[in-house]
Amino acid sequence: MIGDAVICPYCRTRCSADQLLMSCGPLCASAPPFPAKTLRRNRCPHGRVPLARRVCPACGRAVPREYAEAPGRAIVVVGEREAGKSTWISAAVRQFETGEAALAGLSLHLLGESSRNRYADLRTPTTEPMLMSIRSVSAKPAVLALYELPEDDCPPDIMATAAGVVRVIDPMWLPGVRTLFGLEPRPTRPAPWAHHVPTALTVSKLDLIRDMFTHGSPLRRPGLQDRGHVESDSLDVHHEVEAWLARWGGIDVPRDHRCFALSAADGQRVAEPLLWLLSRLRATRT
Amino acid sequence: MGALAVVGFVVLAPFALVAFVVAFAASTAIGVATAVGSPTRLEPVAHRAGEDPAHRLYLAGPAFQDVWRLSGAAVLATYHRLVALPDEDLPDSMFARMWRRRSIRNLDGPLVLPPAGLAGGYALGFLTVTLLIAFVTALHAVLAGTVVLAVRATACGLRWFEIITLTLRGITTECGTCEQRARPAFTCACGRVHHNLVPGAQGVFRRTCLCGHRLPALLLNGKHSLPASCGRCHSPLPPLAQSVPAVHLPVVGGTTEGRSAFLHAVLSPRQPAPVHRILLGEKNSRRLVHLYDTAGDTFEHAAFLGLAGGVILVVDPFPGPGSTDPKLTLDRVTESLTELRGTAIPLAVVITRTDALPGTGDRSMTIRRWLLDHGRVDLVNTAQNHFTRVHYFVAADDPWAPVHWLLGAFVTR
Ligand SMILES: Nc1nc2c(ncn2[C@@H]2O[C@H](COP(=O)(O)OP(=O)(O)OP(=O)(O)O)[C@@H](O)[C@H]2O)c(=O)[nH]1
Ligand SMILES: Nc1nc2c(ncn2[C@@H]2O[C@H](COP(=O)(O)OP(=O)(O)OP(=O)(O)O)[C@@H](O)[C@H]2O)c(=O)[nH]1
Ligand SMILES: [Mg+2]
Ligand SMILES: [Mg+2]
Ligand SMILES: [Zn+2]
Ligand SMILES: [Zn+2]
Ligand SMILES: [Zn+2]
Ligand SMILES: [Zn+2]
Repeated sequence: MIGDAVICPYCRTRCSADQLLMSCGPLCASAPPFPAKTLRRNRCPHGRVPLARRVCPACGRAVPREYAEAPGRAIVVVGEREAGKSTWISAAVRQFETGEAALAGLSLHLLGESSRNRYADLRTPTTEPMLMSIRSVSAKPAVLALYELPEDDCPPDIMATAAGVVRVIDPMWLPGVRTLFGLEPRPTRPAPWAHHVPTALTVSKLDLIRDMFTHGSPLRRPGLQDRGHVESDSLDVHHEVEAWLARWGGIDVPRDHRCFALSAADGQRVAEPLLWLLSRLRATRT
Repeated sequence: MGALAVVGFVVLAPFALVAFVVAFAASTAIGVATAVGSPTRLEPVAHRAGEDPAHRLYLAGPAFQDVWRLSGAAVLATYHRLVALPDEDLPDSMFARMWRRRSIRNLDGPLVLPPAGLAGGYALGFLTVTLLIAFVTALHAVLAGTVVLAVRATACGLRWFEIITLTLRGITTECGTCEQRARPAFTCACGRVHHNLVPGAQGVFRRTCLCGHRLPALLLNGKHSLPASCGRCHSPLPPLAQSVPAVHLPVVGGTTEGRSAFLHAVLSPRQPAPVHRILLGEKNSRRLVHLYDTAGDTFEHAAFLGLAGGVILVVDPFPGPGSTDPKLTLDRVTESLTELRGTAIPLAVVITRTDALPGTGDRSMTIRRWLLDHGRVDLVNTAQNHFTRVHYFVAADDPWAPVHWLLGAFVTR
């Protein structure tokens, strides 16, 4: 959808897709960049083929065309430090590339070298987004900008543009679990931000606490291998996790939310929060 | 006095008739000579600024202007010969000579009448001649106009005929240097470059270069055998570019995935080059296939991807350390294609560094299954979620198969 406002994933300047700047190819020497809307039959003002990439007029960084035209939505992955955010992102990407989501026919593409570099080095803390498009054969691609942010240091401008939130919760930090394991209680902090966008409350490191659940619990099931997002199974997990979170305490639940539990170490139910967010974003798209 | 006027007229009329016949005959003869005879005998009509270095075609315009110039000159000449008042700079007209001889100026009374009658007669004669000239001019204008229009219409028709034929046959010229569509320019033996060698005001079937050389203006006419170059950067275009449709097939793959080995198997004894051109197919399905050997780290400057009619992806399914993962290469290719022109083209996936796979039936399905069984679902999904059609090949089977499949997909498109 050209004409929709594009929010630059790097500096969050709002502009329309045809205001993005294009640059001349090597044959034009060092001509200044020109706005995409002055393209004439795909030619630069000198009548030559321009470089493929379009850059943000404010920060000069490349905005992939797929991101500009979808337009891309910001997804914020927040959680306490060491909650397992990076590990989850990496496992989720792998699930979409070769795991259960891929077996359902989905494919994931990291957009741009900076996103690929970010994926190659998830350990370094940074607010650098990871742009990705998730495709299936039939539907339009869903384009996301994934930000990994620690809960105590969320830049408000990023939170303001978020279309969805994945809140990663390390169960070992929740008061109920800590007393169960005989650990020192930790002072809990309320979430510093109130969000009104769909939020996936995601309990990570499920493998560490799996023994607490009965054998019939959906949290013991490996997930739906290759069937993508199935609402009934997702609701089973949601009710179960919501009940446990209420019992363990220490989490304030946002209005529009769904609960998940996963283990990045075992690859159990890893793709589910993203699949749910995708279905929510699709539903809200006109 | 009336009688004298008649005398004046009678003196002039034969003169006018003779002048008329001579002028008409001469100008018609020149026109016919121009149309039929060799134009080199005429003074060449200079080309205008911005036009190609060739003479203008006489019958496509200058002929018409000549009619106007001729008639104007005729009226002026008649005026000067017959009725012009005495003038020091010009030879006397008939009227002026009489004026001097008889000193009409000094006459008065009834004596002034005969010369006045004579003058009236001359004026009448002049008017008649002018009318005759006007008639001739109109006749010539209609004749020349018809010829000019016919020539122009033929040129225009032939120009469009060539454009439509090229479009229907899918023939486009692409410059390998600019990596984009280019308008071919043609170089005469004298070195002058003709950027717009098509039927037009400089020639319908042929044109005359300023050096005197005759150049064909139509492909049917031999233009395709002239040396062509890119109109933008002047690098030479392949000789067949004007007569055979081109198909552009980038061969992409990460480093050391066997891309060069695959191309070598297809093209056997060729030297390594960024682009190889080969002529494939018979008669009407002949294609000038461009195969690009693309080192695959970045496709940012690979403008030829914008011309691609299909892509050949060379995949080493189990890359060793130090070589790029094929999924990464495929992502980079699809990303660059998306930036340039979208991925609505067919993709041929060629598995290298693997022995021929066993199994009968649909080869492509077998190879796809084999890739899935070996954990490369990422490649299979990415390929099918982006490209219109995907077919799988093993290089060990037949290195030509992917090229032929893409050509088939392109021809039936
Ligand atoms: N057992 C288990 N450990 C996990 C799991 N996911 C993450 N971890 C561990 O949790 C620790 C922190 O993981 P990270 O992914 O770096 O956490 P993070 O939230 O990105 O941390 P910061 O970026 O530093 O805030 C690492 O030692 C991981 O090995 C899991 O599913 N199971
Ligand atoms: N066993 C086997 N080896 C192959 C095959 N194809 C290529 N190789 C080997 O793989 C290595 C790299 O092959 P190239 O064709 O040069 O690879 P490339 O993709 O052109 O590499 P760059 O041009 O460096 O990017 C060479 O040593 C080849 O001998 C194959 O089908 N089977
Ligand atoms: Mg981290
Ligand atoms: Mg090579
Ligand atoms: Zn330019
Ligand atoms: Zn920006
Ligand atoms: Zn010449
Ligand atoms: Zn060129």
